[in-house]
Amino acid sequence: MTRKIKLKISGRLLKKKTRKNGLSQKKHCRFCSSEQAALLIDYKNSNMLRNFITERGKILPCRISGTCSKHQRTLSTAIKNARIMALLPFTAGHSTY
Amino acid sequence: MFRYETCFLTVPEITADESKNVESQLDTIVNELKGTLLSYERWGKYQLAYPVRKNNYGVRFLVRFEVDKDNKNKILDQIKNLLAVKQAELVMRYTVVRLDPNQPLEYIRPESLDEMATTVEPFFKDHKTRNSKESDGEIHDSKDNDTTDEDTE
Repeated sequence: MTRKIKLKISGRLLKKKTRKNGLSQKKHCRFCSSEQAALLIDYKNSNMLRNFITERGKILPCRISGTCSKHQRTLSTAIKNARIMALLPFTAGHSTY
Repeated sequence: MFRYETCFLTVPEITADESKNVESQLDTIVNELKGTLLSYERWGKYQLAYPVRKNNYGVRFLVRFEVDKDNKNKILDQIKNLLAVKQAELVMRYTVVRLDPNQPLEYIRPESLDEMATTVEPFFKDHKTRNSKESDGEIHDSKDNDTTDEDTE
């Protein structure tokens, strides 16, 4: 079967194509670049972990942050440990005394 | 040999004697079971992400030690007994994490409140906001002078 070629391209399709063809850059894992970068994932390094939680304190999904699944697993455990030690919040809006 | 690290959070009113007392107790526990205490560090006072026991501030400590494979369960039980039961009034939270043998001992920690006060002061000393307008004016004047010199040449 020969593939049909569309002569007229609607504006909606054009937008779709540009989105697919990569005007937006592909996301990449920050920690896969080197071993030293992977060592940064630690529950004590709370300033770095703050980049991977939302305003409400939820863990960012890897489809948004771009981390690979291996490092996402270690990141999530590090964030959970940091929450226990009161380095990161469980939620926003903890009542203050 | 297994390498462990315990991080614990204490009440902000902890005195130097009490922290030394905890250190000596930890040291005896580790030495009795033929281990070595690698480091005992006081990070300083921190603002907490959420109030713990109605405290908005706390003091953090980090302890690292090595133990043999046979004694690891005993030492973990005794440390739990010390931090969670004996020193329960001082220690609010604690965690024990096993480290990789090849992992370097250096680590990054957030700035404590004591360190923040020292780092901010020199910044304000160097950058005086009142004189910023005057300095800008000087720069513009010098540029104008340069252009006039070139024209005359």
